[in-house]
Amino acid sequence: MPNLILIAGMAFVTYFPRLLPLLVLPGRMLPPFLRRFLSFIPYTALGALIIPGVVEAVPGHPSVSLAGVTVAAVCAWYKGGLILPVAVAVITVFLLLSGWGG
Amino acid sequence: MPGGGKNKTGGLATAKTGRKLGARDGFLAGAPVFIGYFSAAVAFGVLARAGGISLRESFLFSALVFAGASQFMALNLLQAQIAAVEIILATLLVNSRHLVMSAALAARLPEKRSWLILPAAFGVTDETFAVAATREQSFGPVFLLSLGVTAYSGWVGGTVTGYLLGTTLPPALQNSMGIALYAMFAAILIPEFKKTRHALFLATGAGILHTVLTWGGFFSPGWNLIAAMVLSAALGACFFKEKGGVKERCPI
Repeated sequence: MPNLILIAGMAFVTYFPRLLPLLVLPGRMLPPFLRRFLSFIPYTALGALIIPGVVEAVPGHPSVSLAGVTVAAVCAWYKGGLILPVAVAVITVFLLLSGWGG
Repeated sequence: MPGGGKNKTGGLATAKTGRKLGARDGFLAGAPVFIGYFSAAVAFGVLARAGGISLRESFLFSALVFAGASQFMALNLLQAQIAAVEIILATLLVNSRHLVMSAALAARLPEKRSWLILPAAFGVTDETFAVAATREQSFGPVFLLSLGVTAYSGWVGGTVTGYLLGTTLPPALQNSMGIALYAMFAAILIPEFKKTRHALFLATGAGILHTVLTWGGFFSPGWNLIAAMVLSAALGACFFKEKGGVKERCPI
């Protein structure tokens, strides 16, 4: 089963980077620069995860993708939460795609 | 807790700020991730079956690796007859971003050690990280673990569901699901702009940098993301300093 070896290898190289900092870092006094750097990672990670990938969220339909994520953003700004913005985005995209085919 | 209604926040007596997040909070925070993962994993199950992967192996992919992007990548590379060693190496490169994310979470964890961090670390993904790291309250491994378990069950459950009956889903619905995780990222990020002005600059900067790196084809896709994330956070740490902080030299 060559695929099982592949899966085991992928499992190891995925788990290791997730585990290492959580084992080593808690309780250490980090220099202020590093602490600030780590506190900014959530924002930069989210920015880089969304842009530019969102354009291809719905393959072949960049404008539909942007419409979907914009609706989610507006909904999250005014209402907060996660489930509602995601549901509204999925429904928007579904309706736009259904209209696309005529 | 009877009589908790007097609380000014209007919620349950336990819903005070400054409280440490626990197991229940993790499950609640994980609910939207569950939904997003379930639908994304259905797509993985469908593609795995189409690629000739057995049900057992598809299940093991999701159950043992639990990393969306690299699992889709592995399917592509398997189709292209790429050697396992190369696929594993590519996986390591793509998933190294979790090193940075786990470090950001670790900086917020309490000093007290717990073995629960071992299973909790397995649950660190882009999505669970984003959900946890943007919470203002403090949390420990219990919160991370219950958040991870919720997301994990969506991912594994969706994989099996997609494998077994995915092809019967209408294509328009399958395509619409692609927006779910991006919508969730946006819904996590946007309210942060109200909390700190740094968030907008940092997120936009990282997005622009990622776009430039991607278009320029500077590194492999996984490394473009890591470079954008790390460089913009480092630049931000140089420019945005706490008021009255000590003078320090910027390392970059």
